[in-house]
Order: sequence, then C-alpha cells, then structure tokens
Amino acid sequence: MIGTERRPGWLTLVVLMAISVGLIYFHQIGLLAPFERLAAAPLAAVQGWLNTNLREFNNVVTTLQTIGALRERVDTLATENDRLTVENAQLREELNKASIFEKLLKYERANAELHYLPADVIGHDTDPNLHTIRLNKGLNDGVDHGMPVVTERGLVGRVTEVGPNWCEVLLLIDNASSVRARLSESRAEGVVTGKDQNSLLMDYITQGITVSPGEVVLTSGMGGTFPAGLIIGQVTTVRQSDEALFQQADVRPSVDFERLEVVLIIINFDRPATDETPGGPHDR
Amino acid sequence: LSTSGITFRRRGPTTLHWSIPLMLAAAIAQSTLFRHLHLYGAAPNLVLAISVAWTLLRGAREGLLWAFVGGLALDLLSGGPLGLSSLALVLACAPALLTEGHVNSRALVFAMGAAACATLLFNGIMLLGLALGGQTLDPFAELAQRTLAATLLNTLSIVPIHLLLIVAYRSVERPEVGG
Repeated sequence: MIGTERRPGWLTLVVLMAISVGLIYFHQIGLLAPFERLAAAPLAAVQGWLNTNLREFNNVVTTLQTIGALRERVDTLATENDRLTVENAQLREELNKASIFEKLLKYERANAELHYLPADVIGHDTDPNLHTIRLNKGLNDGVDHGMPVVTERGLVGRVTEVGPNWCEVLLLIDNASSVRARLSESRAEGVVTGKDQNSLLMDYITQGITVSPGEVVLTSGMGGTFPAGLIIGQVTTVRQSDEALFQQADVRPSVDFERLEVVLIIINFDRPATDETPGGPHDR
Repeated sequence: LSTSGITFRRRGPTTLHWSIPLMLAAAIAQSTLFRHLHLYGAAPNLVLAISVAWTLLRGAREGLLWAFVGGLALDLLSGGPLGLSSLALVLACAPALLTEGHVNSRALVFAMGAAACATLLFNGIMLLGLALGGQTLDPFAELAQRTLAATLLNTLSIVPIHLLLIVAYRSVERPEVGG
C-alpha cells in the first residue's frame, strides 16, 4: 500500500517542481505578466479591503490598549502640573522679591553714606487702629530702638520695639507718629503726623510761606530722629487761614503701606538719646 | 493511516478543489493579519503551516499539491518571481515522501518538527532563489536571525492549525473500526 502511493508522490513532486521552474522562467522573460496582473487584481482588492478594515480594527485595539497607559499618563501629568504650578508660584514670588531687592539695592547704592539692613515684613498689627508692622530682624541682627525704616520709595517709620529676632515698626500713617519735615521747594518746615491709611498731615507750617500742592515732603533731620532728605510724600492740598497760627497741608505718602514686603532698616544713624518732636503729643 | 485502532479510508480522490480558496485566504491573511505578529522581522507562515499539516494528514502527494497552490497564492501577493514560493514550498514538504508510512505523522510533536524543518528549507530555497535572481539580500546575521524567528513562529503556529485540520480531516474521512 505504501509502495504504491510513494511512486505517484515522487512523480507529483517532479511534475510540480518542473511547473514551478517553468513558471519562474516564464515570469523572468515576462510571458506571465498579463496573467499575473489578472490574477493578482482580485486578490489585491480583497487584500486592500481587509487591510483597511484591519487598520481600523487595529486602531480600536490600540486605543483600548492605550487607555490605561493614557490614564496613567494623565495622572502623572496632573501631578506634574500641580508641582509646576506651585513651583511657578514660588518662582513668581522669588521674582517679586528679587525685583524689590533690586530697587532697594539701587536705593542703598544711591545713599551709600547710610548702612542698611534688609528685613522682611512678617506681620501687621492685629488692631486696625494701630499701624505697625513686624520685621524679621531684631537685636541679634543689630537692630535697635528708634532706627529709621525706609524703602526705595521713602520713609516707612521707625523701630519702636525690638526682640531678639524681630522688631516692631511704627508706620508714618499711625496717628502716634510724628516726623519733622521740610518742603522741597518752599523750604518750609513742619511736623508730619499720621492721619489715616492713605494720607498724612503736615502741621506747624509757618504762615507767610507759599506752599504749593505737588511739593515733595522730606525729612528735615531736625531733632535727630531721622536722617535729613528721606522722602515722606507729596503735598496734595494746603489749608491756610489768617486766623490760624500755622498752615496745614495734606500729604500723600510716597510709600504704599498696604504692599510692604521688604524694607531697609538704617542701622548706622546716630540719633540723640531722647526723641525731640515738638508738637508731637502722640509721639512714641 | 491508523491511530488508536481507528483506520481512516480516503473518501474522494483529492481535496485539491478545497486547497485553492483555502490557500488564497491563508495567503491574504498572511499578508494582512499575520504581518502584525512579527518577531525579529519574521511572521508566521500560515500557508507553510497548512501545507505541512495537510501533507502529514493527507499524505505527501496531496500535500505537495496543496503546497504548490499555496506557493502560487503567495507568489501572486508577493513581488518575487511567480513559481519561486511554489517551488520552495513543494520542496519544503517533499521530505514527507521519505517519512510517509514510517512514522506516526499525525503526532503533534512530529508536526512541530516537520514545520521547523520545512521552514528552514522554505526560507533557504527562497533566499537562494532570490539571490540567484539578483536580489540584494540583508546581511547573513539578519537573515539567520529572521529564519530562526520564522522557524520558532511556524513551529508554534502549526499546533492550532494541525489540530483544526485534524477536525476538518475527520469530517471528510469516514472512520472504520478495525485494522
């Protein structure tokens, strides 16, 4: 049985090999090209249809496969986004501080005769009727009672209390504050006291001197509480009455007390042992 | 052909008429579906696996005819010369002529071994034919790697194909009890 089947098997092999070799030969000489084109056309159509559908199927499968990975990626990106948002906020804060320090540095260089200690504002007075701020520098840093505090925009106030690592500053706008001042053009002198959050009052201006709105108010240096020439603000309105002994002027402070972040404490200003603030009953 | 005391008797003279649509479908599937299942540049050769499996089940003569038809189908979908895959596939299945009647050709392990040998033969003849036709081939290392990968894939892919074809074979054969 096996022997009878083996012979036609070998014959089949020889015949098929011969046909194959013949096909290769005819293919090489181009004789089969029309047949190949004709036979391949429907196959190519089926192939194309299948391939297109398969691609769509693959897309669906790939999408399904990647959903998990995409979710993971979204979570990772969300975490990264949160981290970057915080980092961005921190950098903005750093930038703001750097900008403030740059201005303060310029101010310090322009006023090189005085020595400054930069300090961060770490707190405001809890009582809305009092206008004081707390700084992060104190006795350990060489801060002492009465030291003037400024920014690049002008006078802020002076140190009224000192702790080991903190100090409290009485702001110009506090009604207990009084500073001897001089007007930049008329050279009239007076005393600036706090009036409210956004304005100061310059009192004790001698009658007969013409004070104009817009004049810059500076520290006079008289009494030795503050160095001379620190900017306090600008005259907005002048009140003059013949019946009164002195003129008065409303002054808009040059410093924005609402936005104090970093200030400079003048640490080498020699002042007298006791404050001399005539007409300053609220001085403390 | 006997397994577990059951003897199969051939029903018809040949199953060649089935081979044409089946091999065309296999060749198309190979060029579309199976090309995504690649390993080191090689994909499972469905036509080869069917040819080998059918040769082992139905005898070398019919297997060679299936291989020839399958080779033609592959050639029609390939850029190579028509007849080359036929020749390679026929020769890859030819060793069945030597083993026929001497071994249990329906054993799965034998089928896997036959698939591995057939793949090596098929790839070797294809490469030889292409080289003789003036085709520039990849470096030897890549070819060897691809051939080994194809051998592995075909050895594995013949398992389900062989089992499926046994089921199909039983549907065309009438079993008779006895020896």
